[in-house]
Amino acid sequence: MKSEHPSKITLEDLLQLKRVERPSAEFWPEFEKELRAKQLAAIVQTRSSWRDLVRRKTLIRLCMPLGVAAVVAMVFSSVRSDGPQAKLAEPVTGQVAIGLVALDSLVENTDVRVIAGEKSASNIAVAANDVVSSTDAPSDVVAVVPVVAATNNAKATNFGARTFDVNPVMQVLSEPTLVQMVGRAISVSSQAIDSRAPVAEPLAQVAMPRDNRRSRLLAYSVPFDPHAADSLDAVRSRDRVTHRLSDEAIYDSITRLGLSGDRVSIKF
Amino acid sequence: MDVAAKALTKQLVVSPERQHEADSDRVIVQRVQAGEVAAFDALILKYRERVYGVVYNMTSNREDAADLTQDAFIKAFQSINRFQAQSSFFTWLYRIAVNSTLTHLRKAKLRTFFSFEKITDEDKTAQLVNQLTDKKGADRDLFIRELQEKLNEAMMKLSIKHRTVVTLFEIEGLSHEEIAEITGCSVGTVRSRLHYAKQLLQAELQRYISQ
Repeated sequence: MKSEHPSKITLEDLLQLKRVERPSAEFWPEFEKELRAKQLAAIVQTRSSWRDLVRRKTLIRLCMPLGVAAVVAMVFSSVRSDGPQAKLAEPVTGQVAIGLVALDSLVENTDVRVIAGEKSASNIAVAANDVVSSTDAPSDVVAVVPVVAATNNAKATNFGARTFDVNPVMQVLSEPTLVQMVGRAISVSSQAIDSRAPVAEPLAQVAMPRDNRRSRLLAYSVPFDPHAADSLDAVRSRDRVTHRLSDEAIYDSITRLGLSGDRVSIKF
Repeated sequence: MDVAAKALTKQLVVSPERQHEADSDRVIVQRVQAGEVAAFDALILKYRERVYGVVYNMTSNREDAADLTQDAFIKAFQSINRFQAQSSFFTWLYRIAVNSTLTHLRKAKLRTFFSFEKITDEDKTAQLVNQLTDKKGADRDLFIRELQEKLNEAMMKLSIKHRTVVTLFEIEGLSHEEIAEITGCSVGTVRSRLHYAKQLLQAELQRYISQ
C-alpha cells in the first residue's frame, strides 16, 4: 500500500468498488433458469391456494349451517332435559311412584275383597282406608289417575316398567293438559272412593257382641223386608222394637235360665 | 397537497432519463396486466442486475442475493395487477426487493456469511486501485481482495436501515426522494441516515481514505 496518496481518495471512491462487484456472465443463465422454475412453482402454488380458498369457502358454507344446526339441537336437547318440563317431570315421577304403590295396595285390597266374597265389611273398610290414606293429598291423587289410565294391565308389568312407561307420557304432557287431568283425577278418584266404601272411624267399624245378638234377636222378632226397608213406617216400627228390647231386659231373661248338672231351671 | 401536486413534485425531482425509463416501463406493465405474460421477461432482463446489485450489497452474500432477487421478481409478477402506476415500476420493484431483503436479514440476523462477487477490472476500478497501491500481479489482486473484504465488513457493521440507504444512494445512485419512496421514510430521514452511515464507514475505512 502506498503510504502517501497522490490524489484524494474519498469514501465515495471506495464505495465505487462495490458497484463493480458484479456476477459473471455465466451466472445469469442459471439465474434465469431458477427464476423460471420458481415462477412456475409460484403459479402452481397460486392456483392451489385459490383452490384451497375455494374449498375453505365451500367448507364454510356447508359446515356453518350444519354446525349451527348441531349447536341448536344440542341446546334444545339440553334445555329439554334440564328445563322446566324436566323439572316438572321429576316430581311427577315420584308422585307416579307413590301412586303406583297406592294402586298396588288398592288392587290387592280389592282382590282381598273379591276373594272374601264380601264376608267381612271391616276388610273392605280397611281397604278403603288404605286407598284414602294413600290419596290424602290432591297431588298424590293427581299422580294416581294417570297411572290408572295408563296401566289397565298393571298386573302384567312390574313396578319399574310401569314407572318407565309413564314417564314419557308425563314428559310430553303440557301444562294445560296436566291441569285438565288433575281435575278429572280429583273427580274420578272421589267418585271411586265414595262408591267403594263409606269412610268410618276404625273403632266404630268394630262390631260389638251385643250388636250381633241384637241383630240375631231382631231377625226372629221383626221380620226384615229389604224391599220395605225404605218405607218410613217400617223403619220407625223397627226402631221402636229395638228400643223396647233394652240390654237390661235381655240380661234379665238370660239370668232366669240356669244350668246345674243334668238339670235346667227356669225362673218365672 | 393533493395527489396531482405530489405526483408533479415527484416528476420534477426525477431526472429525464428516469422519467423516460418509467414511461417505457409503464407500457410494458400495461401489456403484462393485459395478459401478455411474456412481456414481463423484458422487465426481468432490464432490472435483474440492478436489483441483484442492491440485494447483494445489502447481504454481502451472492447466493442469498440470487434467491432474494428471484423472489422479488416473482412477487412483482404475482402482484403486477395491483400496480397502479402511481410510482415508477423500478421504484416499486426496488421496494419489493428491499423489503424482502430486510425481512431476510432480520430473520438471519445471527447467521451472516460472506460470499463476494469478483471485482471486474474496469477502467475506473483500475484507476482507483492504482491510486491505492503500486503493487502488481498477485499482490495487486490480493490487495483488491483485502480491500473488498474491508469494505463489506464495514458495510455489515452498519445497521440494516443505514446499509440500505448507503447501498441505494452511494452504490445504486438513487436520489434521496427515490430512496425515501422505496424505504417508506422521509427525505430528511434518508439524509440523516446517510450522514450517520458515512461517518461510521469513514471510521472503519480510515486506513484507505486520505485525510
